[in-house]
Amino acid sequence: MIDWKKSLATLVLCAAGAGAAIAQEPIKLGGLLETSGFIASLGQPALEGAQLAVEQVNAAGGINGRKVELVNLNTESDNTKTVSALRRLISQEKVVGIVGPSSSGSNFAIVDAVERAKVPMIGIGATRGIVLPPEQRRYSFLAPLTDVVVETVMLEDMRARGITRIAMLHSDVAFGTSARDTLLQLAPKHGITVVSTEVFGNADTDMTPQLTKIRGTEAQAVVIWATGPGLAISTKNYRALGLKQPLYLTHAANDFNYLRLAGEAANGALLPSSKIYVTAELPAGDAQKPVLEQFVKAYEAKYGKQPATFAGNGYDAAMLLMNAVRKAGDQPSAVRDALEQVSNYVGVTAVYAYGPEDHFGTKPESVQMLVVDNGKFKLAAKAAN
Amino acid sequence: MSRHAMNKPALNRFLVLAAVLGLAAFSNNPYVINLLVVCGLYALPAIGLSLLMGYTGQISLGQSAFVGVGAYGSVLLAQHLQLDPWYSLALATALSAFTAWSLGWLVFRLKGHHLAMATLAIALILHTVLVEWRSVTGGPDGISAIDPISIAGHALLDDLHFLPLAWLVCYAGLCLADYLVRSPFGLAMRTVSENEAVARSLGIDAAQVKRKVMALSGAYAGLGGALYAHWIGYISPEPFSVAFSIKLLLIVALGGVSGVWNVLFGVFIVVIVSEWLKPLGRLDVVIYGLLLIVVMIYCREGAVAALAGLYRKLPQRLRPGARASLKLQGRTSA
Amino acid sequence: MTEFAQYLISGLVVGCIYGLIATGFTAVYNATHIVNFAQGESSMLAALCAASLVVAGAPLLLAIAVAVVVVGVVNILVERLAIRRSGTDVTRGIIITIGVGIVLQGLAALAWGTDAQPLPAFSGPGSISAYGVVVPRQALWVVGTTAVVMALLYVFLTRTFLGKAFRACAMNGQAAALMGIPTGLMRGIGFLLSGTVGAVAGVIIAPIALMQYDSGVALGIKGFVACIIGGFGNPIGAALGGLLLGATETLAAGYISSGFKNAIAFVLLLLFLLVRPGGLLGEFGAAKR
Repeated sequence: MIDWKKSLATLVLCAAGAGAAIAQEPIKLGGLLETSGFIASLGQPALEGAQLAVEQVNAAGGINGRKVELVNLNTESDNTKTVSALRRLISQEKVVGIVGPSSSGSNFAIVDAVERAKVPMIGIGATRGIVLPPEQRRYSFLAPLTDVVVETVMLEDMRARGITRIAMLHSDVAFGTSARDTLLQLAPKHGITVVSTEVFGNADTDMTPQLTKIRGTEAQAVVIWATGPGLAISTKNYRALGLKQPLYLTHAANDFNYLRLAGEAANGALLPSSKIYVTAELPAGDAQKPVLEQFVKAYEAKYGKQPATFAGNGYDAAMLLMNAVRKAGDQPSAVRDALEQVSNYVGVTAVYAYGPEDHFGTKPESVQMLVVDNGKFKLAAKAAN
Repeated sequence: MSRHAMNKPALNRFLVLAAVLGLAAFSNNPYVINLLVVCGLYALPAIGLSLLMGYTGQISLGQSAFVGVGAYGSVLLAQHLQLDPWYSLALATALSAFTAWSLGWLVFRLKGHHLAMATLAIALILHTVLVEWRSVTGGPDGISAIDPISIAGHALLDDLHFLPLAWLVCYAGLCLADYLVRSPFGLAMRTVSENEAVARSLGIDAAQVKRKVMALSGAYAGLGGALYAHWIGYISPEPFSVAFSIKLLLIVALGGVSGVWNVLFGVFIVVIVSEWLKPLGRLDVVIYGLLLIVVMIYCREGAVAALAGLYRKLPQRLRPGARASLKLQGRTSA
Repeated sequence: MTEFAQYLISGLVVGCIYGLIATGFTAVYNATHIVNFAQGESSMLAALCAASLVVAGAPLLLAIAVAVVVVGVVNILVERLAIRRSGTDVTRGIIITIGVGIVLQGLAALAWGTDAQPLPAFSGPGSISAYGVVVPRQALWVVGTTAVVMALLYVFLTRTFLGKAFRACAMNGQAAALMGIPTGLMRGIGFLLSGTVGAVAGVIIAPIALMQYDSGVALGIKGFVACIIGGFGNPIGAALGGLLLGATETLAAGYISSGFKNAIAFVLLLLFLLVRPGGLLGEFGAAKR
């Protein structure tokens, strides 16, 4: 029984050696984005966005003459692997900041470790709890629009249209369930009653039963909250069942792949969204317009496809981190302080303003109601108040 | 195989293990230390599965459910009854063992693929319950701010501080399993694995043996899960999905089903190889899958036996000791 | 009543797909006594292949035919390169097929990315409605194709020489080999059949279910449950099991709880395993178990 001891020792030594070569020169940003596993369809575009941001900064001469390097470790949508990857980024790669995972669960799994490591992280997860309470999550920030921000805008739009009873269909992952909780809290404040909530499994292929149930309720509008194919399948089922109420979708629907998947069924759907897909329609005075134009153009040139929302989130997160490094140097804690002072960063997703009590960054003012018109996103006409 | 000869080096093993872990800790590399903690925590449920699958011949794809019961059980007990994590850990382990034992009554009417499927169904059902029973489990968002384990008022927050605990428990688990498979009960287990009819004719209550081993494997899994929960500080349903059951199956199969210590091999391969493949970007998953297939095809008795075989093929002078090689030959020819 | 009819019809459409995939499981199981954990991947691959071909300008029918053939070939390769060498050990078979699934999924993610790829509905996206019950046109394709595939399979297994040889192999491989039936060829046929049937399932459901690189896993698990319910290894049982599972799921989602829909499917699986392990129709060649 000598064999196991030897190989054990070799394995451990090799593991120790694997990441030993560290080049000190470039400024390193860490990435914990998922390129496999159940949430890869969000992680992959976010990574592409972040890579684009780093490439642009390097093309413009880097930060104070130093190149930036993005080290992304595929966390496989696995919480335990995310924790290991975080340790690796911090101890082996010595990153100054981290673009966090897009899975809310993976964010939750590392926030305390991030706190102890004192390295700032901008998560791509959509759950507000990730950065709450602010005094215990000093190093965690969020880049995406949070459900409170988008649902506030959506509920206002409903109120303006005279809608008072709504039903919700959502997926059974954190993205869907936390949006449901938020909606149940927010709706009464806008004078709206949620008459029914239905849920479907993230990998389900048919939501007709849930929508049939909703069809039997008094709802004047239906909200669907999910990501990936589930959202498009629900939209198709919704139209097939002949539901006539206005259809509201999550901001995750502002993704060209959604339009491709849902096809004609998407027409007429309303959604609260960042401005990423209505760049051309924005008034000339809109602060985000030039940023969006260059981002969409550069992204299409690099990847040969239109950017998804999550690509914008990844881009913003990486840019925010790099700007903070430019301002405060390469000490992680100084980068954190600089991030907290961001007050008017014009990004792709929103105009960001962080503060000691606010690590969400995004504001309802950045959110627009869009409508799908003939397979394209358009600014929705303002409802008569 | 000379099982009594294997018993002797228990102390040696402990020393080697301690030395390796000590070295790793001394290297002060948080990443390596973290991986070693993960290895220790994965090893516990794997030992349980090795007893069930390797020695008793009963496949289970449901171990993740028992890990989940241990993790959620311990956290919920600690939070609702304000228990010290040590007590909740023990209670959750017992709870998990009891769950496994009760399910044993149900599933051991089945064999082979049917057993695999029934246990798979258990894992899938538990996962759905964890997701849907939001008022208790927190749903897909899970439960955060879990109290760490503390020793004499010192909370084991750091991986470095948790490492000795994880591996002491793991070592104790290995020794217990090792002792068990050598005991008369271990012989009964193997007889059940070989041929149930023969086992019954010898007066062994096969069903009871299977249930007992199932309960024990549930205890190992539950303990592993509970330790995991208090270590990582946050649990959600995802880590306790069927994917984890499959990972455990891989660990046991890679290590080779004979010899509980081989589990450590499987653990190191599964945890560390998949980390090595990270720099390959999106190819990592493909290569991982290919490795699995190749190992399963060409190393039928697991990686340990394959390495031993390779070692034997080395010219005599390259081997660091003739005594060792004799031992190896004895082992692999058994 | 309208609701009930709607649930039932939706359930039967999904059930057809489960049934086809379950049939794929039985084809492999009968030939090799291995449960192919990569079964769902056949459906995923076929759907994505067909979608790409359509985007590249191929006519829909040609795209589907090519995709089905490609998946058939991939399955034969998988059998040749991996499964044939795996022996008869249950655990090893499970792990190897899991490995195959991981590889195919990884390759699909590399080739098509992580986004779903749409395939147009065969005869337009519309639906037919009567008395408030809605049936998408594609659903009729699903039901029709399933019926045709099942009928062809039945004829193949009971009326052709090759089919009879295949069944003989399933019932007793050794005896079949002694009678001069080339069991190696039969293994290949088993994988070809399972790949083709799985591919057909993937292609016909793709316009409804929108496939992406990891869609095969969930379909595979459901197909397996259908298999157990129907009677493992029994192709007709598999089809019936699929329909029963689909209907139970949608009725459960409609009347009990949409959240526990999946759990109900697995509880059904457990019940069947415990009460009637042979499934509805009993196991194919159950004598040898």
